[in-house]
Formats: sequence, structure tokens, C-alpha cells
Amino acid sequence: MNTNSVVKAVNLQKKFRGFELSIPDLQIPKGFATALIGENGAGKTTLLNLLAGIRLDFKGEISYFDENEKMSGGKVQERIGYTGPNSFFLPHWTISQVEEISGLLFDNFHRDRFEAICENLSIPVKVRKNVKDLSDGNKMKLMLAVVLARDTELLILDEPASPLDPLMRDKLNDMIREYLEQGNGEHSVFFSTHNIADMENVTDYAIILEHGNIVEQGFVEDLKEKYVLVKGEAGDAEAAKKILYTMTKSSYGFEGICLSEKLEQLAGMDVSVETPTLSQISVAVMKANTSLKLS
Amino acid sequence: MKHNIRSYLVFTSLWYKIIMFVVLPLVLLGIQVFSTVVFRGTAIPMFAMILVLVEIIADYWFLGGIQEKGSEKIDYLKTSPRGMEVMKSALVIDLVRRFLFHVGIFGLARMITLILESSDRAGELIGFGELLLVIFLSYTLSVLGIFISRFTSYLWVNLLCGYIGSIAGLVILLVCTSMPVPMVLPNAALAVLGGGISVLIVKIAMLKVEGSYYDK
Repeated sequence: MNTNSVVKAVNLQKKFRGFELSIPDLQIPKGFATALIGENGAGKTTLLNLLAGIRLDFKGEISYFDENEKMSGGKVQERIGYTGPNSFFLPHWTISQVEEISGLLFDNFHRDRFEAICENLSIPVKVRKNVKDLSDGNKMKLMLAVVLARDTELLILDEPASPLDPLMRDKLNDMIREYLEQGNGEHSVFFSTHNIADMENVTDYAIILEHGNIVEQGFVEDLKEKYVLVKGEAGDAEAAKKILYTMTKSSYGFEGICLSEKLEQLAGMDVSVETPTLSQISVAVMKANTSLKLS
Repeated sequence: MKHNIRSYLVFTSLWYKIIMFVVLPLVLLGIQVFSTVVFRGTAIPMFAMILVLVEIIADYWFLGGIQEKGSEKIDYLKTSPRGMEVMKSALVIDLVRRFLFHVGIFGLARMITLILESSDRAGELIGFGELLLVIFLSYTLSVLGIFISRFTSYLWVNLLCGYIGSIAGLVILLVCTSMPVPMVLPNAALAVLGGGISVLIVKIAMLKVEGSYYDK
């Protein structure tokens, strides 16, 4: 699929003690929801922070939108909405202070829209609670409310689903989908997630990050053609193991992800082939690249 | 200027505004009236102690812990092109507000004594040099207290700094007014010290916040 990119990064490098994020080429497709997937410590938050402009010490080049704009100058930041897991608001701010300060920080913040979103998400606006006294779920809802109350073109969301309950995760999917639809191809969303299954409905494109490197990426429909889910009898497990990308065994049989191009090598085995979910593909790719000692 | 004041006000909660801009001046001026009328003396030293104490404690709900390691990462401010400007304005306007408040409240207290002096309920009128001393001293101790307490986000640190600051204020006031030196000397020293701490407050907080963009 040929698409424009909302964010392009070239030779992106960021070093910490014992960790290096190294991405030679990153392109986030414009007009789609892109999921950033990876195990803990893979570099997801670091990458999102660099793209959101809240970390500036990196090597490489990042450009945004069609005009290939740079972060400096401030115009780009007005067009990006970011939510993060760390100390986002001052802990003793109240919700009304968050509303006030948002109006001061961004020209494109709409108070009426913020209030409508708060009501829609049952954020306890009327209770004069400090941000630190809100539950993790409500903190995330408040972050979403402030970014969605602005006229942005790109949302960068760091683990938006993690603190949310299943119902709210479903709602988050709807909100992301609505945001994309309202933009008529001009709005894009880039989010990191560990809750791949919950976010699969809204994911168009996936990037899998391991040890600071992109190990797989593509449109979900393409990935589902690239990989297949194979199930077979226990007797074939040893032979299949050499062909499959990853495999789990039980006394009843085996199940694993296989590259479609290697499927014909399974000829002669009693196997069934299914389309994998994004979650299954992601886990398989992560398993193949992890430094975790898996049994 | 309007934008700078708004930047400051958005960092203050409704309760902070009520206590600092309404309750505190009323209580302090009430004490001065009471002291002048009833005791025929001035309450200004006690007045300064209360002011230093309340300002340092109340700062916990304004920018408490802003200089603490890690807490400078107010990511929301960093996502805005105006975030750093808003932060700096809030810090500067807060200091200007504090200084003007100290000048205004002690000036009003002296005016109360002057007004009541013309009646038969005359109180003790402090001199202009002493008035300046109280203003510079209370301001300096107030900003010193908030500078120290902003390195942590524990309320007890604000309380401790507040109590120490107010007692130190009283002691320094007694020492300065009993020393045979012209009042201009302690006033000049306190003006320099207060100004220096004010500059440090803005510099350190901005260094912390701006440094969080980098590995600092």
C-alpha cells in the first residue's frame, strides 16, 4: 500500500546506559492508527518521547507532516497531541486548573469540547479533586480529554489502554476511530500498547520494537498474509519446529506462527492453517527476538 | 503582562487564591488593628512571622517539589510551544506578587497605625527604616523558605521551613533593631540576598524543567 507519512525519522539514535534505540528509517503512515508494540524496555516510550518533542537529545532527523517540518519553532507541537505515562500534570492541579492551563498552552484548545468530553467520559469535573487523587484510569481519561479537545493532526499516545477498564478500552477504540474519520485522511494516531488484543480493532499499521530496533512492521492486513497460524498433531511437532517461526507444544499438539512463504515446507504434515491475530503475530515476533529466557 | 499574570494564576488553585489573596491580608490587618487599638503597640513583628510561615507552607500547593529530582518532568508543559514561557512567567510573577504583597501589607499596617494615631487610640509607629527592614526580611525569609522546600514534595519540609523562617525572622529583627548600625546596612544586605535568592528560584526551576529535555 502506498501512503504518505505523517512522521519520518532517519538514522534515529538515542543512547542510555545499557540501551540504545537505533532506527535507520521510520515512517508512520498518514491517516491511520499505528500501534507500537514491544516488550518492557524495548524503547517504546523513548521513541514516543523523541517524536513528541519532550526529549531533544538524540541523533538523527525527524520530520513531520507533508511539509517535512521540524519540531523547533513550535508550529509542529500545536498540531500534535501527546499523552504520557509519567508526571504529565502537576500532581496538585485540579481538573479546572488543567482546563485553564490547556487554554493558555494551546491556541487550538476548545473548552466546550473539553467539557463535553469530560462529561462523556465521566471524568469527575465537579468534584474538586487534585490530579494526584484521581485513579490511574481517570488520569488517562483526563489526558485524552485535553488532547482531543484540541484541533490536532497527530496523536501520540503512550500506553493509553493500560490503565483503562475493558469498557473504556472499547470506548478508546471508538474515539481513535472517530478521530481518524473526522480527519478525512489528515489525522493519524501513533500509540504504544501491551494490550494488543484490545487495540487490534483500531490498529491499521503495526511496528514491533525489540531492544531499540524495529524487528517487524507493516499494515495489519499485510502482516496477516505474511504470517499464518499453524496447528498440528504432537507427532509432527519436532519436524514442524524447524520450519515454524515460533511454536508452543502441548501433549495434544502444537501451535505456532509460520511465515507464509515457508508453508509449503509443511506439506505432508497433518496441520491446519488459520489467519493469526495481530496479538499472535506480535507475540511470535517478540518471542523470536527477545532476550528473555523462555522455556 | 496580562498573559504573564494568567500564567501565574493558572498554577494557583481556588483555595490558594482565597487564602493568600483574601484571608491572609484580612487576618494580618485585623491583627494590626487589634494590636494598635487594644495594646497600643505594633503587631508588625508577629505579623511578619505569620506572613513568612503561611507563605512557605502555602507554596506546597503552588509549586511544591518543582525543584525535586524527577518532578520537573511536567510533560504536559513540554508538549506545548509555550510551556516553558508559561512556567517562567508563573515563577517570575509569583516572586513579584510576593514582593508587592509584602510592601503593600506592611505599608497598610503602618497606615493603620498612622490613622489610629490621630485618634486617642494611638499605637507604636515604627520608622521608615524599620519598615523597610521588615519588608526585606520577611520577603527574603519567605523566598529562602520556598527555595529550600521546593527541592522536596513533602509538606513537613514546608512546615519546618516555615517555622524556622518565622522564628529566624523575629530573632534577626530583634538583633538588627538593637544593633548600633544604620538601618540602611541590613536593608541593603537583605535586598541583595532577597534579590539573589529570587533569581536563583527562577534559574534553578527553569534549569530543572529545561534540563528534562536532555539527559541532565
